[in-house]
Amino acid sequence: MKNLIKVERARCNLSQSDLAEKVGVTRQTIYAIENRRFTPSVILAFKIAQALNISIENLFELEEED
Amino acid sequence: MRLQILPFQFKYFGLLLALIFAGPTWLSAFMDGFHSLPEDTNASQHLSSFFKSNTAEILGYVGLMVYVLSQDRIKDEYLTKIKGDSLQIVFFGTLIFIIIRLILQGDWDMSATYLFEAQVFIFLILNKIRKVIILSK
Repeated sequence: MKNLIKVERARCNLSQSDLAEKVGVTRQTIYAIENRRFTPSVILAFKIAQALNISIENLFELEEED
Repeated sequence: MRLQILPFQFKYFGLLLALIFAGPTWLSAFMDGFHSLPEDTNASQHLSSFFKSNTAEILGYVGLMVYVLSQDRIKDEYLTKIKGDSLQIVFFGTLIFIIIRLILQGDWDMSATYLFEAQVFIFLILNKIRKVIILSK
């Protein structure tokens, strides 16, 4: 699943640690999601979208293999 | 059902309990086995009789139980996934070990607790290594 977390994080001027703290996970989890090593749960995806002030559909995008 | 009901500090207490009461027996049994000696022959003889008693073994398992029932210090869904993956690798490795041993040696006797202890030991090391690697990124 593709995502625009890195771009949106930069837009909001947030570091990985800042975003991690806002949504209550470790920085490594944000790193893993950004690098598509880990697909977050629906709850975490919503929390990230909320923290970045963007809709979940615009933040995450399904790929053919998903 | 939420299994991890104890605060994370109990994790260290549980691990310490397991290492103190079951560690010496595991280590000596491993050393005897490694040197192809029957159990309770060489390394085990240097152990105090208390460590070979059922009480010490029970206390060791109680320690593991406390460890399992304790929460993680850092907990999120990615680290939970890492833990699940480590468990899967250990389970898969055990199956491979059993199959290879059956092919090479045919039927064999092995205490179920030895296999379980080996699984616990490998899981703890594997999970720790994977967490350290991931957390260092």
